Amino acid sequence: MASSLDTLLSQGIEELRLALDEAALRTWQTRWFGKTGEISQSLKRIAQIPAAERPEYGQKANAVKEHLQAAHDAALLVLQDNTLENDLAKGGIDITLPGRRSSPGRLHPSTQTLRKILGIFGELGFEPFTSHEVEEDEVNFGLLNMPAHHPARDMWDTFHTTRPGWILRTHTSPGQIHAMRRAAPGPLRVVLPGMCYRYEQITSRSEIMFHQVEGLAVGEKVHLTDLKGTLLAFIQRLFGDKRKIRLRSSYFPFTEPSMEVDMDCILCLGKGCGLCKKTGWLEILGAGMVHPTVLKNGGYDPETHSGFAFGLGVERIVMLLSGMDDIRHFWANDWRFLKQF
Amino acid sequence: MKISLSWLREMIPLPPLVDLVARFDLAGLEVASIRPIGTEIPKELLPLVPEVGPVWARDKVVFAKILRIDKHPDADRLKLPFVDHGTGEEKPLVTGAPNISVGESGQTVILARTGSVLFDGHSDVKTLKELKPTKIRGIPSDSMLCSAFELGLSNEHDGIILYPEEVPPGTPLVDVLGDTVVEVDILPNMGRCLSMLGVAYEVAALFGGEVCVPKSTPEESGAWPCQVSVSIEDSLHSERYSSRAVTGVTVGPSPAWLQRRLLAMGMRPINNIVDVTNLIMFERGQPLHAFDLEKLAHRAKDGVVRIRVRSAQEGEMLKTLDGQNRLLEPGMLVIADDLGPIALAGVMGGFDTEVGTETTQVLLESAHFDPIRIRKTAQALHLSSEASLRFSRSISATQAGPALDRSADLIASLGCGKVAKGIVESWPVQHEPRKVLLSSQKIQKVLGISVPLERVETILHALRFTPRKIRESSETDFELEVLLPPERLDIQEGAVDLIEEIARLEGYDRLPSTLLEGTISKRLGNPENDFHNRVRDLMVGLGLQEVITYSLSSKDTDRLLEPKLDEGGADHICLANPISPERSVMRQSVAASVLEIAVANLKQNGASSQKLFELGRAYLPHGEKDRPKEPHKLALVMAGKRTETFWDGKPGVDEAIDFFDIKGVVEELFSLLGLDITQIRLDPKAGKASLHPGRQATLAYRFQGKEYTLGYLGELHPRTGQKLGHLGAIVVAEIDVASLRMVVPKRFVVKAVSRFPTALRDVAVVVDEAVTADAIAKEIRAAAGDLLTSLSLFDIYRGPGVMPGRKSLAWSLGYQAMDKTLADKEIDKTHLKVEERLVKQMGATIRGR
Repeated sequence: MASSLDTLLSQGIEELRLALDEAALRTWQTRWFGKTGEISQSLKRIAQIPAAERPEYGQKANAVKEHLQAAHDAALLVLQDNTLENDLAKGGIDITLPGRRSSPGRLHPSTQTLRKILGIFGELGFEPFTSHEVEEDEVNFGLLNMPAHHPARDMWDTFHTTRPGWILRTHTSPGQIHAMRRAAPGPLRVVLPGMCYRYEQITSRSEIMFHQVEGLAVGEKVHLTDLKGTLLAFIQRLFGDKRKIRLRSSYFPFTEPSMEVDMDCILCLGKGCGLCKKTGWLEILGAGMVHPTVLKNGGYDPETHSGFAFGLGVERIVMLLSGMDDIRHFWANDWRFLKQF
Repeated sequence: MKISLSWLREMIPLPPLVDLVARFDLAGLEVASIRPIGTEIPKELLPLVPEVGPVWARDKVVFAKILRIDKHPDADRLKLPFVDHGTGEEKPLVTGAPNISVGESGQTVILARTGSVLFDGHSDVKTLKELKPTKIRGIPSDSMLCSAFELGLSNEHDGIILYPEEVPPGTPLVDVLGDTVVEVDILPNMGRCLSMLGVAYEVAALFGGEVCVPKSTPEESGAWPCQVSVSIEDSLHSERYSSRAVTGVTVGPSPAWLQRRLLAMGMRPINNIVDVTNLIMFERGQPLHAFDLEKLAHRAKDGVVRIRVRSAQEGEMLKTLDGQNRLLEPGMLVIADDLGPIALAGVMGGFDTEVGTETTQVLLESAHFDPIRIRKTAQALHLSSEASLRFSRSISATQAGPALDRSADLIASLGCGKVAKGIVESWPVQHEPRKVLLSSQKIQKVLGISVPLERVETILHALRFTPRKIRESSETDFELEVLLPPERLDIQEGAVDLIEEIARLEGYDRLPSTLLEGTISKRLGNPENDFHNRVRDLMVGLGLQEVITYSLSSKDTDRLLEPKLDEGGADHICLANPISPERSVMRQSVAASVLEIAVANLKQNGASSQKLFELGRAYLPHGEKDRPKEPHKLALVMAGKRTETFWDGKPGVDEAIDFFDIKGVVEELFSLLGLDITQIRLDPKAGKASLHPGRQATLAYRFQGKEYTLGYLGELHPRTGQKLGHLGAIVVAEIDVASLRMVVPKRFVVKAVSRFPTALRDVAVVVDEAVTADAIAKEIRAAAGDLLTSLSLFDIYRGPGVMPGRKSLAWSLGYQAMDKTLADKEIDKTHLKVEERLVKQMGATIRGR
């Protein structure tokens, strides 16, 4: 009798193999597992088995039942998978259609670059310090070692307000005085970001308004070599660690010594190109050691304290980094310009 | 400052041009441009050359002398000159030059031989062309006589150069006329380099070499032709006035070399006397002036010329050299005689005492004037000259004497006159030589490195300082007392000025790079700045584009949104010198500037929508005594399509932005900042005539029991839109950033999230049109109490089933408890309370009930 169970199993498997869709599987299920199905029949047959063989027969019959059920389930799964795959294959889309984009906002390019700059100086220990834009002539010039009619005042074309003695700051340097007076006689490391104004015609190269970032460090051990190292660190972080700098002697009334800081051209790497006007160098910063008079005006004793200061134009840096050639884009805010940043 | 290298070379040996330019650039004498005159410029410097001209090859472009001029057999216009060009044989040429004629001889001309590359004389534009052998009307020609145009000397086209002086034939032109003019930007503290001699000293300091100073002692002969006295009445502003007399003067053109030098410096030659004073100004940096002494004597009643240096008096007039009558003001420094002003000190001479062709006696003036006086006067009269430029950079009174002597000597040696015996001068203010202490410690403190004593001394000597050791413990531990040359008036501060000079000559490239040591400054922090950045980031996250607009604006622009501004006087900070009416005041409305940008983008730049914000300053005059206020404002402007059209054409995408878009942004911003948006108070009576009367609100916020006004929001009044030429809806908002920051909680406590399910119940409330959604929400919250955890309005309905004049607002209420799953009974009870309260308090009916 046990052998008939073997036949039953192979017959069930064989029929299952012929069931090629889910309907055929359901028919198979009824035929084998229905109330009068083959399995029930063979289990009922146990009564005819001699008592001694019954346990073995019963076990085997159950094993056949389980085996067939498992084979059925596996076949069903395969069929379902196939059906799903077929359906999915029909539901393909044109993946080249444009994606649904939200229209995100962006930060203005000046804000982005200003943050980069402040971020780097932040790592170097310089805190941002903001100051006034409508400023006293005395703070913008006088306290910075440019008394009235000092020839150096010609270096800055100034917007005057109708209130005597009040101007639009021409640089962030007046903030130096405010920052020093707050920190003196303690050590000071600040960056002064902000809008500055120059009385000029607006052209592709010159604007009446621009962001400047000024740095200032004052302490008992602040040297020109530190200025050089700080600026080198800044430039290499902003423009890449292969950048070189050079310092050219220059003049600002509020620093002594004073210098212009050039960086080797980021486009031609110093070989000479249109960007650097074939010189291989790009002018990036003005810098110097804080003039003793300015230190005094800020509340420090120039005998014990020294300081360095530097300043750079943010829009100029954006232009260098992005290859822009017209400064007027910044405040025109044409959406086609802004969306590129 | 233009520097003629041929002139400079007479004072100091020069390094190759490339080295000179490179070192100048680093040492603070930035080279702006190079103008070659017949010379060749190395390739790497060509970017500095604005116009490349012909190079006069030594063997090809030479002086020649015309021996005779024959007729051309076939052409009347052409001539056949024969020239001596230094080879011993005469050279036949063909020329059409109109300024020589058949039969003439003896002229000195410039000959270009085959292979010369010059400007093409047949072309109006400057094109370089090589001279090749040719035949002109049957006569072979391989050389030519040159015009100034062909040589690149000037635009003179009309004839060949007839050189006014004899030069041996065959002499290379470049040896006589060749020059390279280097133009250098002079920094304010390098005024000493506004002279050839100053530049020569600088070259000597940078490269070494001995400066050859031109001789300056005139041979004197004869007495002064009339009595002259000099007095300085304003010794605060003039320390010295020196004069010399020159007699037997013959005024005429200067010799060619002198004219050439002035031309190289960019100055037009006038006559020998004036040219000498100008030349010496360029040589020494000391401006000089020449008066016609006879004219001065004529003006003097008793024949005694009394020169006074004084301040101009109210109402005084002076006709200056340029023929202009100028009204003088007190404070301007003048040179005057008994009759009145004869010159504007340091700025320009007077017309009536000018040196002219008839002049036979000259009074030379060499003086010190106060730089600020000169600067103010030149600015006030818009008269800036080479002289005023130099005086305004400070010139030491000690320089007046040598320059006076030098000019007198040059006039005499040119044979233009005799120098009378003695100097008439006044020098009331004399300074002790100045000294500065310089220690190795100070050098180390500023530069961060130590410079050995020997090196320091070498540099100081090279710059004509005189150092004296007062302490020397070692090579790197010393103190010097440094005597300053009188002309170094830029050394004002003391030791740091000298340290700058040491660093400049050492070269900054030799300095190592170090980082700051010692304690970092006490962290000041900048929470305000941090908050601004946080708000900017949130706005960007909410889909708005940041803009930065001009803070210089106009009253008209501000009044687009703030029509009441300036009604009762000046509310604006106004510019005294605006570049245009559109940029004439400091703005008070940031939103108005952003509005203009939004409209420009929609109207001109093809944008379909604009969602912009700016976080920037407004500027308030704030009284006459106090510092103006510069509060930061957050301005929002939105207009156009709410969302971009998409290819699947989902409905609703073309809807225009309205009031609730900007309100939503404000609410979301508040929520992201940790504010409770149920505490926002909108007052519809904002009273802004620039906004739609029914779609505007004052924005306030309740915080810690107080209500803070933060700003406003609203839809633009259609008439405001019309002014801008935009017809669609534009919504704007402006929020005071400091006030907003004040209501942002420093810390906030997270509310626990319940583990138990939320039960949703809807209620449709029918109320009169006048009842606001906010009022209903308040009642619902009050009635439901703590169990209500969410409330949202999901529909507004008017129409059949709702009486006219009423509306139905459908709300979804979420009920939830922290400690248990709410039973239906409990929820029903609370919900009923809500409905009853609405009926009672709002006169509402509940739909479906």
